[in-house]
Amino acid sequence: MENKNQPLTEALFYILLAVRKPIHGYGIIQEVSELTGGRVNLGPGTLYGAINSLLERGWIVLYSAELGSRRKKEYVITGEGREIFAAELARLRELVRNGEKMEEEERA
Amino acid sequence: MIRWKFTFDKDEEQDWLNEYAQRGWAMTSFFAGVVTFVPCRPGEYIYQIDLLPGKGLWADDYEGYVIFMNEMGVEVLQRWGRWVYLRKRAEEGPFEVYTDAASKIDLYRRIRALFLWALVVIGGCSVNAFSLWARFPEDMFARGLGGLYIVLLAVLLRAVWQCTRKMKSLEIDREGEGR
Repeated sequence: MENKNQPLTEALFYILLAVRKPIHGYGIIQEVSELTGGRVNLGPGTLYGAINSLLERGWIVLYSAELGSRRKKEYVITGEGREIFAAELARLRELVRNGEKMEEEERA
Repeated sequence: MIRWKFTFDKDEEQDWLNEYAQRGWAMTSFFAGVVTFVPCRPGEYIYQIDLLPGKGLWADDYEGYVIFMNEMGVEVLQRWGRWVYLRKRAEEGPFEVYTDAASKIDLYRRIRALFLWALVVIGGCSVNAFSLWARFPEDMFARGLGGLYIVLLAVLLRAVWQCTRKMKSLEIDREGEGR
């Protein structure tokens, strides 16, 4: 299991992005597939493990789980989850910024 | 139709189930190596085998897992200890339980921990059998029992080694996923 200072896996990154508003498991799979144009299709086991690990770390919480009803469990990101996501986004921006130097130097 | 399958390699067993499904035989139940099939349209289902998180033979939150899988359109056909047999209709698209290197590594780590646990338990049980064999080296029963334990321990050791090998090759893939 990864800790806070490690880059997020692609799956965790997109799951955190999908739960910015309350969403159920199948919704996450669809949202991630749409966001990536069908490139990232999360397997149900991958999603199940990721959701449990994100719940354990407190980066997401259950939004609704009405026992005995047919309503599906929904998940939503927490403040801590948003911080983690923001830190990862900053890391990725740095990568892109520095990566673009390659193209700039080639143009120059 | 009933077939017998004994293996410690879940990938081999999964491929075997999918081959039968391709030929028009859908697995419906598993009990102690005895696998039952019923006729289906060739290629109607895709099968996957998963190991639930947990300790030793005991799974964490099996009910939660079943509800989650059902919501994903996945049928949990059979549970055998912590092992579960899953299937999905092929017309609904590709079906793979784990789709990235990180979660596949976690799966093989769980499988390896289960086999290591079994090695310790069976290793402990084998002590009496081996001491019996040492005391009565000519006795057929003591020989048979000792031999059986040796085979079982060797098969389990091989299964642990296979998991380690699969995890190592997945680690190389994970480099490509940015971690």
